[in-house]
Amino acid sequence: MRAKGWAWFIRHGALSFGCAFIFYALSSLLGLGSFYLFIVTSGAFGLGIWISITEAKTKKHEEEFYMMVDFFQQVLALFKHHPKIYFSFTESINLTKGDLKEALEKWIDDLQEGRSLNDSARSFLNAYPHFVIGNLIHLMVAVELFGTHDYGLSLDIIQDDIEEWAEDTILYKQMEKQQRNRIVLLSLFSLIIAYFSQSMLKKTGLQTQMELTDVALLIFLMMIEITIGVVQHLLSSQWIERSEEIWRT
Amino acid sequence: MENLIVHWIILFIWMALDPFLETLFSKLSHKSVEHFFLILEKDNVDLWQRRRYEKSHRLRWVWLISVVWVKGFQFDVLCLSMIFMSYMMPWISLRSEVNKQAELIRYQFPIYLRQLQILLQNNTVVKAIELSIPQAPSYLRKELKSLHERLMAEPGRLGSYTAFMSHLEQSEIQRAMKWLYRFENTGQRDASRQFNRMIASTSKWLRQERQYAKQKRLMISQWLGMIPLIGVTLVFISAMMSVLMTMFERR
Repeated sequence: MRAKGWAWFIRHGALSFGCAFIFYALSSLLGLGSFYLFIVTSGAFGLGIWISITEAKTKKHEEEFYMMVDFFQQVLALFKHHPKIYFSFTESINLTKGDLKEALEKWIDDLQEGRSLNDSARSFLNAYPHFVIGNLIHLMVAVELFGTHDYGLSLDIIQDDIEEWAEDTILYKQMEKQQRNRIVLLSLFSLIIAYFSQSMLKKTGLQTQMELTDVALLIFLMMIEITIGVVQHLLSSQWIERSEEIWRT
Repeated sequence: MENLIVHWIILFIWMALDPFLETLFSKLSHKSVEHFFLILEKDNVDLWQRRRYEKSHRLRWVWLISVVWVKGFQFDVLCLSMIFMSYMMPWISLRSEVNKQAELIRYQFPIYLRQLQILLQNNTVVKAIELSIPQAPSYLRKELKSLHERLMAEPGRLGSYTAFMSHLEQSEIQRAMKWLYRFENTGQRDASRQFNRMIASTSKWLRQERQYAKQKRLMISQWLGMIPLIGVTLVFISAMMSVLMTMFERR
């Protein structure tokens, strides 16, 4: 437990201290007063923790998404040759871990206990209510229960849907990351502009209202911290579109 | 005093004319409100119209009392525009609700269509629609049930298909329904060609809707990039103010 705590502290702490140091250096360069400097540095420390948490969340969502796509593609390929749900799942379960593995193990247990196929499929769909998964599960259940020979084209359609779904999602996430980088770059540019304006002002010797400038700089730096925090939050959102989860109950 | 009396007379006449005015205003927007209610599956348009008139016109009492202390043309304009805005607000929120619903349908209809296409592998159109109803998005179920009933009664009529969600006036949905009609009513060889076309088109549609929704979200979050620029503008303004104040102090 202690080792886990240390690992957590090192992982999140390193980024927090790094972030706090960067903002401390920037605030010092802009000549911020000590009280405001403390507020900005504390905010940056919090931002560091937030970035670390959201990055871990993004990574987790990414892994889960890839794993899920791989699993369903494998299941589909196996089902095409041998149309049995139990066989397809037991053969592909090794590709999974975490929540997906738990949901699958539960379904396999249900099948072993002889529970109705529709009921166990419904509880799996509650955990994974995306329409492509729903279409695949419903088709598999129908083939297993009623038996048919004309399911090849349907499986092909679903396979195409899975590929397009993965392609679109990955592309969107890449664009989101690019956007985050663009916003960070814009923040950096605005910091450079602020630095030059402050240094020029100091050289003229006309600046005496330090309080006003300090408050403006504090607001500016906090705005940057909040913007980065919000962008990170957007980036860590779920990879699966909620509006496509039509079987959510 | 004269001003007060004139105001009170006008406002009391207005109140006396309420039944007539309420009917008149309701008639003006009746068509659009009825259309919105149909899409949102709500009932009692007349009650809704009456309530929004009554609620918004309660502000007249505030106007009636405050005119004792506050005078002037600007105040009258302010009161009138407040009444107008509070009368229009329910209509605006209803319209935005309709837009949201229409967008959701546009997004989820190809998803439903895909489900139907999978069912069509082993079923007729009528049977596939019947089987799809329990798994369809909730707001489509009522319409699907009536479509199923229409098809059971008159399966060979194009109108039975095109009447589905016709109130939404969405050409994509109408096109999909015509496909289903052709698929059901043409020969075996042509039907499979129609079916393949339908699959290809639905894939395209599904993808377009997904990409459009994602692009829209990206466009909104793009505005976040303006925040640091607003911040730096604030720093500039404060610096200018600081310089100006220093210059004035030296004089």
